[in-house]
Amino acid sequence: MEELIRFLGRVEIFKDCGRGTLEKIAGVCEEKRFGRGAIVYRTGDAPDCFYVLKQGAVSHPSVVGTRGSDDGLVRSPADLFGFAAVVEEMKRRVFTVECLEDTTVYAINGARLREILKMDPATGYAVMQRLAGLMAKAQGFVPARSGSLSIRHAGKIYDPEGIHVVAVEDCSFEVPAGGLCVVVGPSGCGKTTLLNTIAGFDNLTSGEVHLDGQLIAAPGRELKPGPDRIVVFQQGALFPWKTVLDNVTYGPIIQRKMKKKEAVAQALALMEKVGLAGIESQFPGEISSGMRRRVEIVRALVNDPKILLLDEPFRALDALTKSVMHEYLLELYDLSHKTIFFITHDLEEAIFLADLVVIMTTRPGRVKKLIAVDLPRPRTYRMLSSKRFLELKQQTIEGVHEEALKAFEAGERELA
Amino acid sequence: MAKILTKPLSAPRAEAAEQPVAYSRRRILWLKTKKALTERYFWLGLLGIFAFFVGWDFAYRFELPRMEKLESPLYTFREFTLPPRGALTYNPAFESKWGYGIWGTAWYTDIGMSVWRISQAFAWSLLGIPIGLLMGWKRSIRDFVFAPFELMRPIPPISWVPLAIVMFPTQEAPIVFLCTIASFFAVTLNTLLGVDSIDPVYFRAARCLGSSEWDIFRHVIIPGAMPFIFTGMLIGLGVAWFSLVGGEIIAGTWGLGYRTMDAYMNVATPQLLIAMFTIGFIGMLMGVGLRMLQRRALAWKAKTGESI
Repeated sequence: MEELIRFLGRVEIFKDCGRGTLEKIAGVCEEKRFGRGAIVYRTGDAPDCFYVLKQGAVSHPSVVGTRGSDDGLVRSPADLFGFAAVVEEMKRRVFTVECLEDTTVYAINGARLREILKMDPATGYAVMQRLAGLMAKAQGFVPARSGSLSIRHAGKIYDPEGIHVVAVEDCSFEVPAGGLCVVVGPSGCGKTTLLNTIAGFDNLTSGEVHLDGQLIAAPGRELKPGPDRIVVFQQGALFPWKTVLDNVTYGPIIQRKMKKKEAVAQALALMEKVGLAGIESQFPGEISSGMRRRVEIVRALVNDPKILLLDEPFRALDALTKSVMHEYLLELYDLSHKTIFFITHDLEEAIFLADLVVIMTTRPGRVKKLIAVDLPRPRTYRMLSSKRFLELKQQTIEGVHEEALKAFEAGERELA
Repeated sequence: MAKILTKPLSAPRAEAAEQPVAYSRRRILWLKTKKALTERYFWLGLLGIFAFFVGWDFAYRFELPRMEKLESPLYTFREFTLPPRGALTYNPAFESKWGYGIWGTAWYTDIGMSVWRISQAFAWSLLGIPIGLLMGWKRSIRDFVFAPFELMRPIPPISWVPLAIVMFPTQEAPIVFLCTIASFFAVTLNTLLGVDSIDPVYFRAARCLGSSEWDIFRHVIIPGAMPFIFTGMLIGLGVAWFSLVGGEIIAGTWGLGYRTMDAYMNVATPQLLIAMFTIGFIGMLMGVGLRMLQRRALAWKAKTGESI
């Protein structure tokens, strides 16, 4: 027993837990042995236990333990796997885990672990939060997850009254499923045009857009906006004549996915979780703009979209509200891992949020530079002054500044 | 999404709405009245009305040009409130000369007839709401209907009078028809304007959330156009009164509009003034009623303090 407690104390996520909590966890631990080639669990199984590796090696695509290795295996003692059991309401295993050698693991009942952690006010909460984060991160490794966006040679020419305006030209990039892609560029570089195309409001004049391998926009193709890609608009589009609750439940009810009662229950539960309880019977005009933005994001997420399209959603907010909204969005993102396509011209915002920053050129809009942001998640405001952040920012500024100058000069010329 | 949220996010909690103290209805009314009595606008309004009558009285008393043809407000008031000869007394100081006021039946019959005609016409003109909504909803319907509408709209209701009499050979129908014609266009075109005024972003948002065309009609077009629909109804009510008087002058035997003409023929100025003020007063009451309805229907605007 004593040995087990000491072992658990070495597990990184439990390291801040008090002795009492560790003892309780040890109490629900069960040592299990698996032979080489045995399957611990399969994708789709109901998750019950959470595992800590004692000895041996298992195949698991995400390595999130004390000492990670790069080969997609869990092989160091005290590494963790099987997060699905810890996360409430996860009905299925995401991965199949196979033992590569004779392996000993500690199986911890997920439900019991949750209870124990809830009873530890000092650190249990933080542990739960980290576990949920790790789960979300692990899910990002699943290749079959939906929401991968592929933009290929996209081009859009506006042709009102014979004046050719090339808004977007030969624009190609890929956003992996669960990725957070931020597009930056000077005004009028075709960011919103791209977004409208993905949303299905507007078609391309050349090229294609695929979502999960499905063609959603190409010249001559019929457009169908739908609840699998939901836009959060720049100026906000909560229906002012519906209460907050009616707004949030609008999608599920209208699509007949849920009965009104169910939808209301789900919406209320979700709003409670994201700190929006108590405003459900108010009208959008009665709540603050920051809160409106949050309600709108929740309204989008209850539809379980494949991709979330955000068109400069925080533009009209003051700096303080904006920073709170960033944290809010990142938390939602870490937990849901929806693919996000985010438009902004705030560089700091772009780097802080993104996995991938796409810098676009001034008209005609082309991809000037793709910057992969390798800052670790979950992101915190401390990173804003980290060295890596500043390097990335420098890179981005160089890319954007040139374009901004060009856009400015073009504007001057137009005026002259 | 809901499935993997395991903990309340740390975003700041919404401030819980303050619980209003529960008051009974009567108490609320009393509090409101008390508040109104301390407000400047109330007293200024009262002063305005008083000044109006005093000005009228002075103008009549000092025989300003054209005003000498009127009656004094006091005399009109006496005509309105005193019984006719023989009804209660034979004292000439306490009788009304024309008997048109609260003691006779004529005044009530006139009001009843006019209000009944207006109500009929107003109800008919509400047909303009669905027509306007449909026009705003479907481009093809608008293109089809709009041109004839624009052709008919500028024709003043009064010029419909002869046609109305030819078309509807009864007493009542031509008058109702005239009123309807007038307010129908106001209601329809304002409704259409209302649909046009809806920010396109709401249509996009609705499509995004998986709405069918019918859902958009129900959940975006109707509520979105509602403010303008009410404006249209208010304007419609106004113009209905307008043509009611015109119609009654020409084709009526009862009604407030008819009474003004009748009084003019008999040179009964007090009667004329009473009928006119009655029209004004009832029109105002109807407007107030409609505004109250509007306040209730547009709670989402009223609550946010927007002017409606």
